[in-house]
Amino acid sequence: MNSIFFRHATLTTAVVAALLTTSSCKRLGERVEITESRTLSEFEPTPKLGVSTHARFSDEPEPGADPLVWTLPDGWSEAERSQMRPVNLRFGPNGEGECYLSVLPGGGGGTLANVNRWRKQMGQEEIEEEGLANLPRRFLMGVEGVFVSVDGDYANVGAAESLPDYRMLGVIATLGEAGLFVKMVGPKVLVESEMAAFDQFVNSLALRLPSGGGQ
Amino acid sequence: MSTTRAKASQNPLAILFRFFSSFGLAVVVLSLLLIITLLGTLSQTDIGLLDSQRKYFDSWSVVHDFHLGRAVIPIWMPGGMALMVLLFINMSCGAIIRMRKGWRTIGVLISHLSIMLMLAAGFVSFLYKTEGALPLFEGQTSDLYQSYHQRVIEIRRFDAQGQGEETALLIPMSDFMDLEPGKARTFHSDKLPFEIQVTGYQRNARVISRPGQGASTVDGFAVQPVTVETVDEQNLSALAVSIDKKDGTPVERTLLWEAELEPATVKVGDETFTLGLTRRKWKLPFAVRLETFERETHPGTEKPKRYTSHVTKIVDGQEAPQVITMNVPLRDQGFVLYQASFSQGNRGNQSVFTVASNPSDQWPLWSCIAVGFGLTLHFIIHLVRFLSRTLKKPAEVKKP
Repeated sequence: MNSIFFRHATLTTAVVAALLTTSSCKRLGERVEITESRTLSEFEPTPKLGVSTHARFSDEPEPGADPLVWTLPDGWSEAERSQMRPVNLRFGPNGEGECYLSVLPGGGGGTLANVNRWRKQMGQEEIEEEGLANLPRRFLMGVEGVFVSVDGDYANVGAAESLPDYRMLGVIATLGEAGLFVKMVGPKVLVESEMAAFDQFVNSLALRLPSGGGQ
Repeated sequence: MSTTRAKASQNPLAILFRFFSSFGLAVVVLSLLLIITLLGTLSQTDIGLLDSQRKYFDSWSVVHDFHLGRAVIPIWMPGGMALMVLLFINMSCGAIIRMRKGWRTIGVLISHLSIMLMLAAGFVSFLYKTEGALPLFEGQTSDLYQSYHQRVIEIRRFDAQGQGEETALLIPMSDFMDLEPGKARTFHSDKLPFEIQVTGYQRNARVISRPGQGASTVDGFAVQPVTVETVDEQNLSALAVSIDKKDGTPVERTLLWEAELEPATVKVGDETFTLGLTRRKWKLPFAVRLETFERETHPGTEKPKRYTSHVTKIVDGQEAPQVITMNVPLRDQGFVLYQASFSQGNRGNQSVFTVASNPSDQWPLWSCIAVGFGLTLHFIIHLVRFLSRTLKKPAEVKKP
């Protein structure tokens, strides 16, 4: 009887001790070794390295940041920007081709006036509303505009002589009250070889908007 | 013989056994469990499901504030964990070891063992269960699910070419959740060339722009604590970390926030490390791709009738189509994927699955079946005994 009691009592004590030991809390000191790890998944996105504190915590553009984003095509280079040309690019072996974005508050006189101004620079006759309506359509920064392609002798504003056998490509669109103009001009052969780069640049142009990120 | 018995009854271990096997203890423990369950359930409206569970059911002790008019009376009580452990011991001693064993008690014995299995299921679940969310857009594939409640500081290493290692080091929230402002703890590892001092943990916070420099400001940003939400999933925790080389040279001081868009980057020599405060993630042994999501509503209303996700399960490159819908989860290799919710955004439909892994997932079911079987058996045995006694009695009367 004694041995049965003793065996049961010992078993009880052992069970209580085991449960208390299993569930006891981890004591934390001032220094703790990192012991846990996990295997990463191939489906996890790789984090961006070197992101600024501002970009980590805010989806607003950093103070002084460029409000425009675009992709610079291979072989192209950036030229000095100005208020009239917030994006100003060059291409060609000697940088003889240029492509730039202009943003004009108020629309700069309207689409037809600007198309005709460009045509005049290329030595071509003006077109009427009907001709404007027949121009191909193209999206620029999310809004639909007209696509202009004019061949001829290019006379830049203030130039004494015109440059022969040039081609001008452009897109004119209206965003709110502002007129958006992308204009590419250069020797015809060169421009023809850079058509894909022009498409890439136009398609990549966008306003830097809040990303709406967060977890 | 009587002296031996008297000595045995004085043995401290024997006294302990009598206490733990007593019927009185069972009554007290079950009564307290009833009270704790009631208080814990009622408190969910004030402190939320998670905190209520932690305070009343996952705890060894609890102090409950009883409100009597304007007076608040704090009462100490054993927590749910303590009560369930006591009940388990009580049943082990009283209903298993001490009980007379024989064919008459076999049903009761089975029932008690089954209830102990249910208690054991709860304990195993408490220790080993993982549960989290797996959100997928149509066409997206993943094999990760992330916890609803557990936060970790995750540290990843990248070489000079930006190639990341396959594992990340983790600091669990249990190691830093007590570090309110003014308290700090340093974390180290042989795998890191620096040490991380963590301080200022806030369970729910915003990181706000605060121009100027100050003790709590990093690059014009500071942690602003906000009211803790009762629904823990909505809380976004934040903390501050200081990175020092092992020789004590300061490297960087920054903030970590659950809602940060990218983790903090620390460069030491040719290597780059990222530190992020995030929900704990677990990897599934298979990947899931969401093909299409269907949402059925009751006619003429927006009230959901059924959500159905057509998914492809991918194991070692082998693809198998599966359907997950309400009450029809996907079960595989100990993991269960339930249809939880959905959302519609710029990227299209997103289906959200709850993923659970619990080694004792089916134990409560087996336990309930066994309890039912044991009690039925006990009833049948006693019915047979009763009937046999009843049938025997008239014969016994006629005998003389």
